[in-house]
Amino acid sequence: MIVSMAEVITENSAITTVDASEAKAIGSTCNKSSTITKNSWLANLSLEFSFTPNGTQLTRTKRNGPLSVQKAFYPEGLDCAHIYLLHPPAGIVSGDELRINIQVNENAHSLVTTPGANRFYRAREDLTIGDSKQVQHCELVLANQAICENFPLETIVYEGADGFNTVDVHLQNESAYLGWDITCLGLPSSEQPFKQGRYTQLNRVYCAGTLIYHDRIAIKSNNNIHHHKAGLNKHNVFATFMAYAPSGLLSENDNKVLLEKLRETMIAANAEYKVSISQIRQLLVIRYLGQHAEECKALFVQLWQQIRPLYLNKAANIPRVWHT
Amino acid sequence: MITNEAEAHLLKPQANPIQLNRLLQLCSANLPVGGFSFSQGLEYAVEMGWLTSPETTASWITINLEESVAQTDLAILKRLFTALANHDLNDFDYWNTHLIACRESNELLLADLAMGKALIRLIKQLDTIDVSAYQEIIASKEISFVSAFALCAYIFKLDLISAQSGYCWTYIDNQVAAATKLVPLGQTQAQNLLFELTENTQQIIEKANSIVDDEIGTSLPHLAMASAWHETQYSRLFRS
Repeated sequence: MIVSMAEVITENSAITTVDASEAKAIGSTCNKSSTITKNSWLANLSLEFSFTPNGTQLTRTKRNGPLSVQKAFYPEGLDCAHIYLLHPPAGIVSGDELRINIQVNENAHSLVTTPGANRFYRAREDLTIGDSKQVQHCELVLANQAICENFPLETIVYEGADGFNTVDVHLQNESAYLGWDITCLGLPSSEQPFKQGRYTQLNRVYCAGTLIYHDRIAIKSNNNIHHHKAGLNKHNVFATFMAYAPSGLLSENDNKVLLEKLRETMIAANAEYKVSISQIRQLLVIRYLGQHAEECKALFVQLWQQIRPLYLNKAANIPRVWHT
Repeated sequence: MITNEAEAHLLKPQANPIQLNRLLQLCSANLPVGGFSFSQGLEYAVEMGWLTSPETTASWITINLEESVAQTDLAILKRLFTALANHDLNDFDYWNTHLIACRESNELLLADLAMGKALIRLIKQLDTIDVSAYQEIIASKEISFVSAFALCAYIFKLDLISAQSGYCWTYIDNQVAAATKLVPLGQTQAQNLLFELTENTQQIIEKANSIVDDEIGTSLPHLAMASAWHETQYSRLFRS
């Protein structure tokens, strides 16, 4: 399994260097059913996890385009299915629209991650070829007593991108959700700062059909959000880790103790000015603002290791793919 | 000497006096909704040394107005007003829920709900105001301050732009008052700031009224973090 993942990662990094049309050609030979309209590429992946006598199983996979998954695997027992989302082109160009739908049925538990960073490349400037927009929409639908953990690696937004990344989480009162998104603007290490692009990260959480959290961070060259103190304060990496516990699971006191512990962990890691923690009713909202996706991930993993045992009654063993 | 023509001009009302007075009452610092006990993240920003002068204060409040207030509060205020004009209380409820979901920290949420609740309590007790047509809204469990403000403005027969101007004023006045205590600023500096910040009101309202539903809600991440950190700030004047 890990060997085949390594192959995918190598393949990804090779593809990222080719231009968009070639990447599409590579992808389309993999799957002839992909929808190619005029200079746009729509990809769908729809997964359903159900709890069966053999634990959590991936009971339905529907795909159209280059998005795919490998077989679920079970590093911590049959209760929890781990799955890697694969996107061989490894990035999103103008005209692309990627839609991911993950449904987790009652009592099932899935942990979704990705083996490589996601990328929004520089958008097309010649609008006669087609729209410049690049869209990814991820929808996670949890039944009561369902558990979903959603931990993609970081999303890199290239200079000149025109990206829209939406994560919609649909919960019930008794669902449990832990998930993050980590965004890097530009590639500062290779001196490609983010100056002209446009990028919107929208996170929405619904509980029993009612919108309970809406966070839309919209970076544009004509608003000052990237550079203003109240916005990203010139930082290139911003991230949100959201955690939702089933109602009534934690007593008010347990909850208070957890919040204090999480804050102390960040102080001990010298990250109290990089990470903020607020609990909005049942939803824990943790934000990171800084310069390094690796640092952010390491901090979030530390918090996850404290939240997971309480929210999911499971130890937090770091997925192996994160070590690569 | 005043000519007849000049006198006629002076006596011609630019605004309906009773509506103007209603607007002033709704936006008065004396309105008992507790607005002045919340700083909306500003206290933490001062504590961290981000706001140290009239200039940095103006910049902080301006980005809040242009991004957050325009694209969340004022844009939804317009939709709430439309819902009231259409007698569509389901739509009103939808936008109220949306607003509440946009509050990015526990503190910002509590401030919004506490002020909303206080304004509803007040309007229910006003002798000359009949709220019977809005029982559904009055009885709803949670109401954002923006929704309560929209309802009052509508009942007071204010037009949308007046209501939005009044909302901007309430926000600016509140933030400048907090900054005056915290930064601190002198009284004259504060008055100058009020002049400067209100210059952009028209532009902010035009922006709010031009955006489509998909563009609603703009978060300022570091402000959201400041407000979350304020929840555990050791010593503070303002509520959390």
